[in-house]
Amino acid sequence: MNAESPILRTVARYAIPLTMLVALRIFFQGHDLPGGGFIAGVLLAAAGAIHLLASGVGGAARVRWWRVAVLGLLVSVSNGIWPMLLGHPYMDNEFLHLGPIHLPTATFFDLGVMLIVVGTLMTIFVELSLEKR
Amino acid sequence: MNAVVLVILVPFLTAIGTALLHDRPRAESALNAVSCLGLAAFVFWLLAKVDADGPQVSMMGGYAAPYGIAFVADRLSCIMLCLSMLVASVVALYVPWTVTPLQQSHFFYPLFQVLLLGVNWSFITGDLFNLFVSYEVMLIGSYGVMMCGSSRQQVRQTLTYVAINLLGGSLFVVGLGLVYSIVGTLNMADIAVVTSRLAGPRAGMLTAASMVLLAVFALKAAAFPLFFWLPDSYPIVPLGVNGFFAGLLTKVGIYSLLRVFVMTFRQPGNELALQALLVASAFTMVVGVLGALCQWEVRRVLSWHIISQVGYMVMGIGLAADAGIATAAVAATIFYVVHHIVVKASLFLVGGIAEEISGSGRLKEMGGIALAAPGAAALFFVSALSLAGMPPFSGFLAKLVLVRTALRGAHFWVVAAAVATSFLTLLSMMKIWSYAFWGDWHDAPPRPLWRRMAAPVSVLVATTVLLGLWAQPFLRIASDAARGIVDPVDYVHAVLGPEASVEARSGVGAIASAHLAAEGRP
Repeated sequence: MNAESPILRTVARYAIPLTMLVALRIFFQGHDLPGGGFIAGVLLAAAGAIHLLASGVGGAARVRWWRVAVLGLLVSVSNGIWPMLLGHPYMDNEFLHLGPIHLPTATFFDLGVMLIVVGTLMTIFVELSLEKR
Repeated sequence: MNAVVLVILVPFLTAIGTALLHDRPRAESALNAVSCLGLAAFVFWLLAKVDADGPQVSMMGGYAAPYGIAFVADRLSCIMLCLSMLVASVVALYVPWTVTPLQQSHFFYPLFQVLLLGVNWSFITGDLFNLFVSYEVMLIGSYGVMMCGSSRQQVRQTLTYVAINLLGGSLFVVGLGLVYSIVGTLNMADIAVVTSRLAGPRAGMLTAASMVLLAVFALKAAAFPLFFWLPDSYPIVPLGVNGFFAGLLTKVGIYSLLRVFVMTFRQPGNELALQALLVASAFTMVVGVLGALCQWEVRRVLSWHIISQVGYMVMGIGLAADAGIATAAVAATIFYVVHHIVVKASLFLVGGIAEEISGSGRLKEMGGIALAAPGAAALFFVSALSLAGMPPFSGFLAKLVLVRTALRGAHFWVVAAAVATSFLTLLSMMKIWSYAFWGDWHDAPPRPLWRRMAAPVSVLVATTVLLGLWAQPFLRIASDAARGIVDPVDYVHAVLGPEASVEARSGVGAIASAHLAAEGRP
């Protein structure tokens, strides 16, 4: 695909934010419906792939995406430590009561999963784009 | 006790931390070493606690057994954890001198921690399916570590290793499915309770299904006839971490055989699996040592010796088929595992020092190390004699206990194989000694780097001397651990609660469970 294609760039301007919004929706519906961190991560990476096709690899290659994945792992793993500090087993679920919102700590586990998926997929996409043909 | 989970949490967090410190190799290796030493201190404390207070259990996410995933630390788990962390600590202090910048840039340290995570996990889990997950984590770590540096030879041999382990992993899942369809649970304590009351055709079906798992664990342990992948893949593992591979990875298979085939499956007919292992063990010993005798590279000789040594441990497990000597046989196996992990890791690490000094791993290009670096030669000398089973080192005692148990069970032919293998082992160690360490040294004095590598290894060598000279406490804890495996009363109580009443085994498997009978479960 030609990176300077005006059609692709125009589509990307709308498709990327829309994909990200859908990803956000699917992330939060994962609490009690099909969805969650993994699918949201895949959608976000799809938005990233559109960006790579439309604007070229230059900007995205400056980010070290594997660090995003490692950060996600840190979020997921350390999320399980929180209950341990309260004397519960590892990975037990706690609820954070923030006014009207009752947030299960499992949300942060899912957030970590999302970051892992985005980081891993974007690493693969960027490496493949940079490969000499 | 929820802190049990630390044995996997610490390597996990260290893997993340070392990955985040990727741009600062010195800080990365320092974090790696500090984490290993800290966790080593914890697991030795845990062993003392478990020895005093009985098995410690943590249920993941607070879900009750047998539905949730149990992490159980009993004596056997803690012994294995202590060994894994001892070797990991020594390796962590050894690798900063051997890891190349290229290997470091391929995420050597995070992958090593993932490997450690998988190994510790397999020792602590009390759930059969979770054991499969831990195998996969361990394998992913080991694939990555093997590929660090990505030379042509590494890529080729890792491909074989990946293929064979993918096959093993698939068989594992198939076996688990079969077992689950028969006993209806995957919690090890629960399986032990259910299978001990199993009789008739269902017991036979379970024995048949368990053969799939037997093949998986035998493949992991590199027992005959599933050993062929090992001698080609271990020599390409990066220097230093190969001590961890040699010491721990095949022993995960041995541990699984003990945990699953001696403790968990207790149906009548399970002796069949153990008897098959006894036959395989004689072949494993002899084939391994014969393979070692015709190799001309240090790493290859030592890799073949892993196989022959695995034979001794499999022999101990096989002897457990005989109910009269089951506890003694398992105790001998556990003591042998302790001895073997320490000695094998130190031999690989000293082999690495010898390669560093002479700049080659081929026996015919080496020579004179005893003159150039007498300290390294002494470390090798002690480890080699211990491996061959010479007194006063741990190898002698480990073999003595094992052979005495076999004689009590009147298994003379396997004793003959064990003794013959022992002499051939000595012969092959003499070959390394006379080619690599004996002879004249004509070059300039070797780089002083080897002293830094030798310092951590001397801890392992001191351990094998200690195990030989002051064996009583170690033999005592090994035999207590064996009792906990052969009659897992404490284990079942710790996981399922005190109402799961357990009787001592008569023959193989005789746990009667009152509350299960009341529920009308099979």
